[in-house]
Amino acid sequence: MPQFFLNKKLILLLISIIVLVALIGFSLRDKENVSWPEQFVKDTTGFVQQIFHTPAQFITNVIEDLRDLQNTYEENEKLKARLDEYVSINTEVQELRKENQELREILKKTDDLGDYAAIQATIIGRNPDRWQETIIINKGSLHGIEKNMAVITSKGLIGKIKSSNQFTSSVQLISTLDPKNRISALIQGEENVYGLIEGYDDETKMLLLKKIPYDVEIEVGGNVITSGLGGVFPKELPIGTVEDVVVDQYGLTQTAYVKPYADLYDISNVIVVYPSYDKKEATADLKDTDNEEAGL
Amino acid sequence: MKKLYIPLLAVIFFVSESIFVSISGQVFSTDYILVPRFLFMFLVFLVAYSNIRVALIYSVIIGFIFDVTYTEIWGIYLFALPLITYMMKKAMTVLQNNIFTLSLLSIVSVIVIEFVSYFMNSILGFVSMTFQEYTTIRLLPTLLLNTIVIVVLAYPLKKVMIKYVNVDSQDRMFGKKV
Repeated sequence: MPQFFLNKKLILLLISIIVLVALIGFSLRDKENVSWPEQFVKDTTGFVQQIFHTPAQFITNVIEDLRDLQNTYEENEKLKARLDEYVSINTEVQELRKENQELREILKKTDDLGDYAAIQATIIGRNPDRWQETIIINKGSLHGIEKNMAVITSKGLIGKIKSSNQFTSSVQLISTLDPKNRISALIQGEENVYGLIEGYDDETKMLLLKKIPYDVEIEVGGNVITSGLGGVFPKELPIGTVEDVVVDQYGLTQTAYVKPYADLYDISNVIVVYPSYDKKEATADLKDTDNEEAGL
Repeated sequence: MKKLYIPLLAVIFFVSESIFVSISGQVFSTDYILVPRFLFMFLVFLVAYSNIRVALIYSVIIGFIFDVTYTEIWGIYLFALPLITYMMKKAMTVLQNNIFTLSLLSIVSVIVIEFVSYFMNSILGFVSMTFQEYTTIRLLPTLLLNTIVIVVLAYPLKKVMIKYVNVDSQDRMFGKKV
């Protein structure tokens, strides 16, 4: 027994395992803000990453452009065919938008869950240890980015802000398996079907839309968008299409497999969006009028 | 000036991993998960051509920065990198010392870190793959990628290390300065 305690290396190993467990527990807690030393380290590495990433991105863009040139002709043919369709849709959208605005004015409803403000950003790094898919972008809290804002590309939703530093922020992609990561979503149809995006299937590369009531019928191929009901993400951000529907093991709810619109591996530019209506103002309004009328 | 070359090399290896992951998705798409573990080549060669103290300091600093910037779970790499560096040093005292065994040791260290990270992440609940899926989707393609890179980089890396690592010659394990 005394020999055991004399073994310095073994003691060192045991102590470091204890420290390891303590550190992991410490860093896993839900923190509101990132401490300034952590921010400093992240911003410094972000700066270095940007120096190396910019030329690498430039070269990649050149390669991609060259590849695009190969099938320009076929693409052009296809796009021309779609152009006529586009004109008619465009006029219809304009008509609807106008009508919507008029109706809103009649209702005196000015705030909308679908209104959002946007910040453009460029990706400067990605987590090489690919258990948690995280990307790093070149905008931080100085540019107005806060925790939990939604991140989209031109195609659709890709994730949310995990933490923001002064000049950089980390984005957690929707493909990360995190039990705390839930997005309120809906499937468009004659009647909207609501559910929660929870988890990702690595093999089929699809998102899982869970907690759908068992008695609703879901069309395969339907569009899935954010519902805006969580209060964090704006409404109507496109997520993907329904590919498959299964009933869960107890038969109480259904799970839909959703194929994301955005390619989660081919990302270079992103847009950070957040609801532009002021939540406090909206609720303050409620207190003054509705509550008094109701005698509260 | 010469003293700055090895830290600069460490920075390049550190950044190259992240750039590889973010750029490779844009150039080609694959169903497999390729994980670049280029830092371990750097560490293994550093152990071989400098002394264990220098290599341990490097591995602690790199592990800490890796945890803070990428995983945001402190401890996994901070713990694993020095441990693997130490194991590689022990292995080198037993094995014959040449560039081939060093490359082989780099690949062994990639396997070790892959298993450690799989184990830790499955405890923390970030893994949905079964072990079978893990080996076919992730482990084998990762090993292939890192083997190709080590074959290409081993010789230049050795040259750079011999030229710019300056330690007392009795501390150095092998590869004496000429």
